[in-house]
Amino acid sequence: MKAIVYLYIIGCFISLIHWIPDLHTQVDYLITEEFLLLYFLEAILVLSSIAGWLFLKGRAKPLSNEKLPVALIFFIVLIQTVILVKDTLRLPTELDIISKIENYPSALVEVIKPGYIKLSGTIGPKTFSSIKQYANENIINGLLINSGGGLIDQANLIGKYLKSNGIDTYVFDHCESACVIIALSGKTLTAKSYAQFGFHQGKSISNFENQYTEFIDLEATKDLKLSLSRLGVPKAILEAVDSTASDSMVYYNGRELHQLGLIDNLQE
Amino acid sequence: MPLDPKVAVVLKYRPELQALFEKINSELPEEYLEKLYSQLQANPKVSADELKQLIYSQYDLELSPFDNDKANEIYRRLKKTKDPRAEEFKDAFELLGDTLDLNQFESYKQQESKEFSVESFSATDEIVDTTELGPINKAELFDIYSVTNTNDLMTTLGITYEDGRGYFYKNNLFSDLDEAIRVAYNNNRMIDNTTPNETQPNITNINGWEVSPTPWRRYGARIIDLLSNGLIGGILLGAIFYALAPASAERFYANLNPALDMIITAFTGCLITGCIIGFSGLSVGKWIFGIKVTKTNGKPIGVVNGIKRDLGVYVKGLALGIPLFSLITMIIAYTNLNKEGTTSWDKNGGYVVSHRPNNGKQYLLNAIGIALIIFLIGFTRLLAHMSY
Repeated sequence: MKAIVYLYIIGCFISLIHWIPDLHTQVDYLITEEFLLLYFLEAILVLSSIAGWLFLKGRAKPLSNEKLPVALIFFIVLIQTVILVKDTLRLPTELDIISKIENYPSALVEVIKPGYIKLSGTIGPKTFSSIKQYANENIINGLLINSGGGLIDQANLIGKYLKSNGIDTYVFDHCESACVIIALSGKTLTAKSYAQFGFHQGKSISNFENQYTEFIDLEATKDLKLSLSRLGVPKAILEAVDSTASDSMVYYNGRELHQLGLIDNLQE
Repeated sequence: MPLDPKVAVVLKYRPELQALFEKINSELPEEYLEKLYSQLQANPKVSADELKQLIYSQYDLELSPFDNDKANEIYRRLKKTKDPRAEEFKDAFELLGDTLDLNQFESYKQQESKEFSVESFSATDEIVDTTELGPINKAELFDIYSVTNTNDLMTTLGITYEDGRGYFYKNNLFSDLDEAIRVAYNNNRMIDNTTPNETQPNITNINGWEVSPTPWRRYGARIIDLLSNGLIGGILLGAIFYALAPASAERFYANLNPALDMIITAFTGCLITGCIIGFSGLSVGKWIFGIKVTKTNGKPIGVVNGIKRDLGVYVKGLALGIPLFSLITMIIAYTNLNKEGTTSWDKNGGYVVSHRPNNGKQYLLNAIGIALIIFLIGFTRLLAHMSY
C-alpha cells in the first residue's frame, strides 16, 4: 500500500515535469531519449495510479466516507489517462519534430564590419545563441538579414533581443516568413525598394499527417500573425497570411511596405 | 431462515451472487430464495447469469399456470402485486375454468396502474436506516406517516398482531409483517387515490431548514453554479477535446458561436451541479444562498437522481440554455414556484428544496453571493475576451 502511494507521489512529480515541456518543440529541445524516458515514466505513473485506485476501491467500505477519496482518485486517474492518450497520439509527431530539430539548419552570425552582422539562411535552433555569443564580446549596431524563414519561436527571441538592445535591421534582398518578424523588430528598418518580403501561414516542421501536426500548423499561424500584428503589420497583410498556404508565398516589395509605414528608410 | 455456512461463504466472496440474492429477496417469494440456496449448495461455482435465468424462468412458469392467457395475465398481476387474492383466484380458475367471470378481477387492472410498491421493507428493524428499498424506503414511509418506529407505523396503517397467528390487516392474515405493510400501504394509497408525491406530508422543516419558495435565492445559487461549474465543465471538455483531436478542437473553439457556447456551458454546468447536489444536497452556489435539495427524509438524492434533476432544470428551467427562450422558461418556473411551492423537476422526483432561515449570517452570505456573481460574470467575460 505504502509503495503504491509513494510511487504515485513520485509519478505525480514526474508528470508535472512532463507538463512543462509542451515547450520542448520550441525552446528546450529535448533529445529523443529524454523524451521517450519521460513518456514511459508517465505511462508507468498512469498504470500505477490505476493499480492504486483498484487496490483502494476493493478495500473501501460500501456506503462509507471512504468512497469519496476513491471517487477523487478515480477522477485523477481519468485525467492522467486522458493526458497519456494525448501524449500517445502526439508521440509520432513529437519524435519526428525532435529528430528534425536535431538536424535543422541554422544561419550563424557573419561579421560584415565591427558592430554590423549578417544572417543568411534558415533561422534555426542555433541562430539566436550565435547572436548572443557574438554580443557577449562585441557591440551590435545593425543586422543585415537574408532569409527564407525558419523557426518562429527563434525569430521571436531574436526580435525581442533586437528591440531591447536598439539594433537596426537591413533587408537588401529577400526576407520571408519568420524572417519578417526579425526585420520588423529592428530599431529602424532599412530596405531596398526591390527587396522581397514574403508572407504565408505557419507550419510544423513535422510532415506527419495527423491532428496534432495540423494543430501545430494552426498554432504556428496564430503565433506568426500575433507577432506580426504586434509589430504593426496591417490587417490586410494578416489576412494574406491566413489565406496563403505554407507551401506558397505572397510577396510585398520594400516600396509597398514603406508606403504602409513598416519600413523606415527606403533605398533605391 | 438461517444461512447454510457454505452458502454464506459463496455469498460473501461472490458479490454478483450476493446481488442476485438481494434481487430475488426483494422481488420473488421466499421459496425462490430456498431454490437459490439449494442451487448454491449443489454448485457453488455456478454462473450468476445462469442461475438468474433458471430461477426467473421457474418463476415465470409458476406465474402462467393456465392455458388461458387472460387468466395468466390476471394471476401474474395479482402475484406480482402480492395481492392475497392471487391464490384464491388460482383455486377458483382451476375449479371453474373458463366459466369464471374474469371481469371481477379486471377492476384490479385499473388499480394496479396506480400501484406504488414498497419493496423489501425491513419492518422488523426499528432503526431508520438509509438503505435504498426501491421506489420508497423505510425512512420515507416513516416520514410520510410522521412516525418514528415500526409499531407506530403498524397502528397508523391499521395492522394488528395476534400472538401465534400473525399480522392482520382488514381481516387478511399475513405471516410476514413486510407483506402486511406493503398491502396496507398500497391499499391506503388506492383509497386516497393519490400519487406517491402527493402522499408526502406537508413538510415545513428539514433539519432546521425551512421548506417554502425562495425563488430569488434559488436563482442566485443557480447563476453561481452555472458560471462556476460551467467553466469547470467547459475546461474539462476542452481539455479532452484538445487531447484527442487538437486541430478539430482549435477550429471548433475558434468559430464557436456565443449562443452555442452558452448552451454547452449550461449543459456542462447542470451536469456537474447535478452530480454535486446528488452527492451532498448542496453546491457552492446553493451553500452560499442556503439552498438544499434532498429527499423528504433530509438525505441526499443520489448522483444519478441529481443528474436527472439538473437535466430537468436544463430542459424545462433553462430551455437548453438558449438565450431568450431560457428567460421565458425561467419566468414560467418562477410563477409555478410561487404558485405551487415547487418546480416540476422537484415535484416529479419527489424532492424537497429547503432553505437556511433568514438571519444575519444568511444576509451576509447573500451579499457575498451577489459579489461572487458579479466577479464570475466579469471573469468569464474576461476569459471570453482573451480567447477571441
